[in-house]
Amino acid sequence: MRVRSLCFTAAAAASLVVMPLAFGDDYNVDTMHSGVTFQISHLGLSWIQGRFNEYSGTFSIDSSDPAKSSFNFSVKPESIDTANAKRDEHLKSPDFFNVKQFPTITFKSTSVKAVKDGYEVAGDLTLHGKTVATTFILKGGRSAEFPKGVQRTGYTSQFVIKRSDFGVGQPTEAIGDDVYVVISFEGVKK
Amino acid sequence: MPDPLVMFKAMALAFLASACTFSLLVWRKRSSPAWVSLGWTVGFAAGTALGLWQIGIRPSWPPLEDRDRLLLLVLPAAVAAEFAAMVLSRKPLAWLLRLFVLGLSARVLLHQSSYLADLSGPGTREWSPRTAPGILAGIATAQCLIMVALDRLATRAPGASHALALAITLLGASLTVMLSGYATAGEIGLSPALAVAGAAIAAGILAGRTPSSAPIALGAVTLSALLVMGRFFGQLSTTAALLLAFAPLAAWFGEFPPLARLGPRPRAGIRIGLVTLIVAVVVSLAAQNFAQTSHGPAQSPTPEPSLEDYLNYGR
Repeated sequence: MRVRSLCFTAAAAASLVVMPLAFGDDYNVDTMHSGVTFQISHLGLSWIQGRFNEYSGTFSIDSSDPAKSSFNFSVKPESIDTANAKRDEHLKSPDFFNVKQFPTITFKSTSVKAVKDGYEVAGDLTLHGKTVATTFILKGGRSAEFPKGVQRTGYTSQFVIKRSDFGVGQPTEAIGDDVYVVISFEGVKK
Repeated sequence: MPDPLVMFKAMALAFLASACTFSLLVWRKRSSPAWVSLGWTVGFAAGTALGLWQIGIRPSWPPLEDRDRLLLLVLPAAVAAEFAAMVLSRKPLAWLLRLFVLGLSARVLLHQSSYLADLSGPGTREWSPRTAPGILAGIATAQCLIMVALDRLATRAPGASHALALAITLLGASLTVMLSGYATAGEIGLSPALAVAGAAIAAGILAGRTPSSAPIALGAVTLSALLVMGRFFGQLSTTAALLLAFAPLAAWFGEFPPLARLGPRPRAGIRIGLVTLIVAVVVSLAAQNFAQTSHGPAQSPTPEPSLEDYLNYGR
């Protein structure tokens, strides 16, 4: 009887540890099928577009309790690519990103709530040594098995940040203050 | 690129402020080395501060970036060392202080950068804990040797030509750093360059051959800081950085035969001319490189086919 009781207690304790994982699915961002792109106004005439080629991320989706979901991303500003090597060099310098001093851009979610077709994610975006509370809507969440045996899901978001909030570059009318960011990512279930 | 008109105004203000400050302080004490050193130091500080104010550069606190550390720590420390050197009765102690500021400047500028800190996770620093002290010691030793060699020259052949040669090197370094993808550092360098030049012209007129180590020390700290920032945070090549670092030493050629037989004025001209020549070569190479790499993707060498070309294809 005592042995059965002990077994039951142990099983109950184990279930408490395992249960949250059972509802939360953890994913690694699949960089082959993801992208971090941006565009910024030039002289108010055109949009200069660019992307970051190196980034990583993990996220956890708890469909039964979205508040327990979380998103963490890390982007290497060293990998900026605007299709002009000289401009990219300048963007990496302390005139803009200062990649030798601030080699990573990070986002860590602080709260997640379900909205129509996705999630509203709030968190801390750290760029150029400054952390600013940022909120964006992630749309998506459909899942697929690709290739066979690999479960994946994906989300996309478009949001605007101000480079002046992060002290990136001098204020000038030539380059817009608003940076339009698009992140689209697939996550592979761990 | 920064606005050339704003840069020109800042340079003019730095030059005038430094020259006027030096003249006001040294006017009645032109043969006193202590007053001449005070004129150099206050003139440098006033010219640099006003030039930076004009150009709109404001350092941030806490100084997280190299340029903030230059403006809030390195340059004020160099100026403070000169004030201390005026007070200290023992000359070696004053020199130890100058060498300490100069030797430590690279370490301060590179603080918490990816060269010295694991900013992207364990083991990501670019210089390992074993190699970093060696590199920093190498930079500090070279900087200190250059400063001592320039001061020896200034003692051997007193006058303002060494300071003017340093000002020209500072100006060239600022332009080269600007052309090497770090515009702000280049902009910052213009004000101290013209501040040294302004005081040097005033010293040439007023103080004649009254010796002072202040312009050498202040110029050397600014030059080495600019080159460290350009090389390690911008895209300044190692060759350009080394040429600019050692360019002021070309002034020593005037002390060797047969040039040593010439009078003080021709030798001063040779000093300035040789340094200017080296600096001009480095700046023009940087300008060429900037022009070559600034244009976008190369256009196709063959003309684009027109709609008519497509319609007539095969006929």
